[in-house]
Amino acid sequence: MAVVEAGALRPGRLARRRLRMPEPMVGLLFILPTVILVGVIVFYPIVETALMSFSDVNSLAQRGGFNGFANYQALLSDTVFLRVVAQTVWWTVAVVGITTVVSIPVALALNLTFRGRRFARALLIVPWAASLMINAIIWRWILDGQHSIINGTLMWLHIIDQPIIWLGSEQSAWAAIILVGILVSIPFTSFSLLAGLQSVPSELYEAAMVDGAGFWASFWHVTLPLMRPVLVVTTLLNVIYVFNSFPIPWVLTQGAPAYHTDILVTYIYKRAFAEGQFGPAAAMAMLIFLLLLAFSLTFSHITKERAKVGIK
Amino acid sequence: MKRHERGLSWWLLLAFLAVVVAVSIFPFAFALSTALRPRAELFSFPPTWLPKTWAWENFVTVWTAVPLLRYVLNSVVVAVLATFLNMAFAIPAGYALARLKFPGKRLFRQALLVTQMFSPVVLLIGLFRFMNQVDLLDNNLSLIITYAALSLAFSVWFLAGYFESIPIEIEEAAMMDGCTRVGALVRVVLPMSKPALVASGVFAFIWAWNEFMIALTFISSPDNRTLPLGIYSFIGQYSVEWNYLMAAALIAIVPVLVLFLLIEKNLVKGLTAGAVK
Repeated sequence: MAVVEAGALRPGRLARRRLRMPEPMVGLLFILPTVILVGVIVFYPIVETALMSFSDVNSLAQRGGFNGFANYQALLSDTVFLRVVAQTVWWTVAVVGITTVVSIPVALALNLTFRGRRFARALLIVPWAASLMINAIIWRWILDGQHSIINGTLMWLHIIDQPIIWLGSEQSAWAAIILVGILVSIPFTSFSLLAGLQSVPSELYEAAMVDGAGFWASFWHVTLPLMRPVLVVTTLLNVIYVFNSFPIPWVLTQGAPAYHTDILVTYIYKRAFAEGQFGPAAAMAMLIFLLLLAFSLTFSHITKERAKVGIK
Repeated sequence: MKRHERGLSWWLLLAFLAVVVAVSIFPFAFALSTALRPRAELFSFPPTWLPKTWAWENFVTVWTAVPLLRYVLNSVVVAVLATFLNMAFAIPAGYALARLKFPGKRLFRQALLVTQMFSPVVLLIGLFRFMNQVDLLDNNLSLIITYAALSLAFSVWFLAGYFESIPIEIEEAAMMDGCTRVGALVRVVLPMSKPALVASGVFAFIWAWNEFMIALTFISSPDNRTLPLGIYSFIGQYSVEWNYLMAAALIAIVPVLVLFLLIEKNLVKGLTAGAVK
């Protein structure tokens, strides 16, 4: 600011300087549009959902009187809800876990020098560039119905003699949903781990090699500990992404058979927008909100670790 | 690691990568093979992995056989306007976070970080009610506003980080020469921030281009469908034209792929901050 004052002393600048708004005022004016937009589109709906969760709500999402914890109590006696919670945990853990295990060697491989590395990276980006909905709809075409390419090929090879309705039974539908979840998560995870790997100073490897450590020993004792911060951040983000992956189950099965492949986000959507049960749906949304809030507070502590791995 | 290149572990890692890449790209290769088939070849047995007759014309006829042009135009309008709105709000807010002292700055910063972690489904019910109240349901304006708002926290953070990296002396010099704050921002800071502006704009655009759940909730009439919604609506029809569906899906991916390559260096940075997915 001292520099500005000095400039203002120059003849002819004085008048203009006096017109300048004080800095706190400029700051508040600059953030005002963002505060309004985020307030209306993010914070207001949360408040509205919270109020709905304690109210009688009709099928047009209009609030009636308060009904205390009735909507929450209704959830506890809703066996489908409890089932869907278990399915959501299972889906999130399976997808994030397998994705991480697969992505570590993928990141290590992408960190090597070989011909066609750029090409491999470009191909790996494709499922990431396509939206979840498009990934899911392509897999639906591959798996759906009696005449899918998978059935055709397996029958032609005489591995099966009857077509299998892959998305029709609980187990095979889950296998398909989880497979798609993993495939869409691998690019982000491995690119993010790769960025973490590249920030590991190569002298450390060389020191390990001089000590006579082989590939696995240097991986376990040098690379993996150094990747810990980026692994933590990536895993946390993946948990949030996967938890929220509405389009994959929605496009592949819509929860069929009978809610057995629903996750919380698709179940809330159904309760609210297909069944008009906005009260219980709002109660579920609030539970998710609190869960993710707790999660993101943990996360904001962990963001300090991001600085260490050079990811902003 | 260099000494061990070409050792057994080198080959094992590359073989593993090859398998993962092959499985990842397989659905898109098969989507292309489907998009290039005539209708009669969709369900042939024994199955064919490549079309017998290459129906290249599908990529032309799809634009008129289904209202693809309408969907694409809707998506372009929604994504472009959401991006502009997002940028117009994020630039001053990001600058304020990076450079200005004002009351409530810490709170603002924290609130933005928290909103970034909100699940869209948590907002969905309240948002639906709000859009109903202001009579914007089934109107693409509702999507423009919502998309701009939901990618705003990320844009502000991303731009603030970049603005902080610009030496403050340059602005001070400009302001000494009589530039106002806004003048210094527009004439000095923004021209120096082109890569960051492009990257955050691209993230906002891709987010809006790919979004599905909110569009599914807000939009009901066929004329207002965005591209993801339009593609999804194919499978509601009694006989799904999978060749056209796959062509439309591939067309939808192209702009995102191009933009991804444009901002390759910032890709991981942006996605770790939770922008696109």
